[in-house]
Amino acid sequence: MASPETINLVTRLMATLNKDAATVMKNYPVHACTDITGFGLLGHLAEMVIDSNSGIQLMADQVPIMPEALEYARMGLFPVGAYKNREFRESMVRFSPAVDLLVQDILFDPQTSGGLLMAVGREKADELIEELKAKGIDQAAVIGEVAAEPAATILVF
Amino acid sequence: MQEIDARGLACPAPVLLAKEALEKENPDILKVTVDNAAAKQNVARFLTSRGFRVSDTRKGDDFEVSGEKEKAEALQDMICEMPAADAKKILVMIATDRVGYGDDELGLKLMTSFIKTLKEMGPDLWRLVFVNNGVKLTVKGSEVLEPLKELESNGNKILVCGTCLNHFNLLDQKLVGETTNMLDIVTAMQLADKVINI
Repeated sequence: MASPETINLVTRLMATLNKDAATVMKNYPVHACTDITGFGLLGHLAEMVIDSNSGIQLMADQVPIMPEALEYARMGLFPVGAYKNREFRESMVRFSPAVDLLVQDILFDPQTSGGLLMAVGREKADELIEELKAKGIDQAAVIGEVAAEPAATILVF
Repeated sequence: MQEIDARGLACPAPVLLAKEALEKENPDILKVTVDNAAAKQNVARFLTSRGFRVSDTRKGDDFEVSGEKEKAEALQDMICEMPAADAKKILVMIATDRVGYGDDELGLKLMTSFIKTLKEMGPDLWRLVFVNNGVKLTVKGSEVLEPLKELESNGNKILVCGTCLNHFNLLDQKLVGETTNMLDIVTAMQLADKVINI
């Protein structure tokens, strides 16, 4: 069903190890880091802020999403885990009405390949992204910001 | 009409079966029985994406998702039933005392400006409903009491959630609008042509 371009992209992303990213990370004051796996991006973000004094403001349109993923989402090709992840953590997440329902569900989708989610000071963020990209991690992006309020909550814009 | 029994199948199998059925038989009505809520939602999404009008019913522990192809005439009817442009009833539901997330001070300022500007909707503006933190805009100390009173005197009904006032201990502080309940709010939403959520 998938196009050859998508198959290539997915294969490449799945085969990319976190080793290079982890090596780059060591040169930066990264405060926290987790790998995004079965709980989905929002599930693992929630783990980072639960019971803490901080919250997250996530910019949905900055999250790298494979182009064909949206089409498959529209077709209802979600694993059961996506619904379970949502059920589990939706009390911690508030979506702006501007965020498409399909994108909301993709952000809870467990189909990820363990990419790293790093928290780093704002002043170092762009530099870190540049260096990651230079090492071939071309999907690296700033996707949000840590905020004091509302605590232990993820706001998705 | 075609029926598919997709019980006992894990996602995405039910969607793939439905897809195959559409491609092979191209039925006007397709019914898919599934045994879990995720498969129900996925099949509903799929049929919607293919231009079907979708409904679902619970059958014991299972769900039957039923899709009917939208006909061109049906779409035409919907267009004809749209209310005339000059007879709109707009209900504005205000569930917060500030607009948006981010900076609270800015949010409060924006809300004041929003309420003051609402009158520009003219006769289309019908009702305002205040719930949760929104009720704080209707009590003593609110910066928008005057514009709200003006809207009320122009015939806009202002409904303020009683449960919410009670929760914040503000029942005796309300200075504008009438205390209301959820039934009134739901009925007003049903009667409105457009509901705007803030």
